[in-house]
Amino acid sequence: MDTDLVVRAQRGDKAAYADLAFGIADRFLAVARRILRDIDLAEDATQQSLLSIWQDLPQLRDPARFEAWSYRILLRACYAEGRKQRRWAPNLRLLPADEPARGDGMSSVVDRDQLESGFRRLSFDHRAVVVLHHYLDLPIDRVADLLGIPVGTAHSRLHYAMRGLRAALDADERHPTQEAAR
Amino acid sequence: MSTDRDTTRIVRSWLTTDENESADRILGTVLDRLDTTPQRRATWWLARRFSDMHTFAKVAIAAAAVVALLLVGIVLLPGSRPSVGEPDASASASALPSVPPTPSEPSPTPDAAFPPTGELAIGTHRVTLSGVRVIFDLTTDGWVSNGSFGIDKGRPEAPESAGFIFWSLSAPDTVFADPCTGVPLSPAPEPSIAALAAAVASLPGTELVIGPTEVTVGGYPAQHVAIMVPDDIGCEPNEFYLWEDTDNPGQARYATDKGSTIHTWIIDVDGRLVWIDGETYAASDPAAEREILEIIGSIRFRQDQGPG
Repeated sequence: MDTDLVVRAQRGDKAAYADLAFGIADRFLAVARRILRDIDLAEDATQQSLLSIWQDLPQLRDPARFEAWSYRILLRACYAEGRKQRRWAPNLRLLPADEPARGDGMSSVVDRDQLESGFRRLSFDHRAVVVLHHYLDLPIDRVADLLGIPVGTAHSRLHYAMRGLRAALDADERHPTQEAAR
Repeated sequence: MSTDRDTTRIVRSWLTTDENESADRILGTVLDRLDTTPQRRATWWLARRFSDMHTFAKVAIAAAAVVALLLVGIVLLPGSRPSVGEPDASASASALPSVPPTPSEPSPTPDAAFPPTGELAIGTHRVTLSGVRVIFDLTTDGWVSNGSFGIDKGRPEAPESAGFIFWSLSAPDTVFADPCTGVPLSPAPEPSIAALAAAVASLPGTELVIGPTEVTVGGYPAQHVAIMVPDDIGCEPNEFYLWEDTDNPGQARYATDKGSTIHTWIIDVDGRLVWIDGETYAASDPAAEREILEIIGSIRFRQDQGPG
């Protein structure tokens, strides 16, 4: 992260903030979507967090800590959106060019369904640890730092979450769905 | 039984293969709002400077603060106030007729590509769709513009609302052959109102409610189709893709809810395709659908002026 950009944005330089936001927005949306499992809520959380970052940037003491600080704001926005009800308004979404809306890299549709349902049963705290560690590929001490929790707590949340997801997959083996039985 | 390593591999694969959307539209909205979103000034540096100070300086500042408090206290004592008859600056200031805050009342839309974000007044409004100026009337209040493509009625958190999508950049050019996986129809429909309306009417997984019907909108030939999104679509509504404008810039429409009815008007304005969606939900007030039809009925086109 370019700390000079952060410092300029802290002083109210909108062009510098545009560059900063451009560098993080796609990743923020991807993380929010994976935690919230809802694109509308994820878009709202991303938008809210980018505005909050702009508002609160002068209060960031150490510009080198921008990344961790901004992720904490995103996660707070995710929690807030997760508590909201869905929105009733027709909407549009940008789709990546030359790609179907949904990739299908999973070997099993059943795995995907079971994981989805297992993941939705996790709390946002547990989801955040899974996404930061297994999607962003951050080491667990970095995850703890981003979330502002002790490393032991991050380990514990990850262990609990993965145990729940494994149980969801195993439950599927015991009770095959119609698709699997075909 | 899954092993830890299996679960980790499967979870990582699942997270990676989830689709990724572009945040460009969100970024545009955020940057548009920076001018009206003031930054909160830092306060931490005060504490840091104080803690870094020499002890003598801290004592001096504390003493100065005490003196200042004493002075304020003296000024505010009852005896220090002006007696009756004396002019009281603070009282006279507060007695001045206050200027009422300007209410942010809805107003008719000025000539712009789309009404700015906020509530729309009863009256005439303008949007520019596919480069064509579209004029329409609102006869009831409660309609709110999202500033770029949507006009919605009612509380967005309540399922009795209704809404429009005005395809402002250009009209969709294809529909999805498999809405739940986002696979577009191949080959894409011919770029005519009849072919596109037929494609909408045959969208897999939806129920046809109206049409395709030949109508006129604002005096121009159009096709009207209405489809319903049933309960058994096989995926979440916001994963159920309907139609897409692949060129400008690849925006796709998806269902808002199961049970919603989506009216689509595809209009041929001297060779330019204009596309408007109106939507109501299972719990919408029946009046909402009537209003959508009335708004479409009020549309006029003006081609003698460019957008903006």
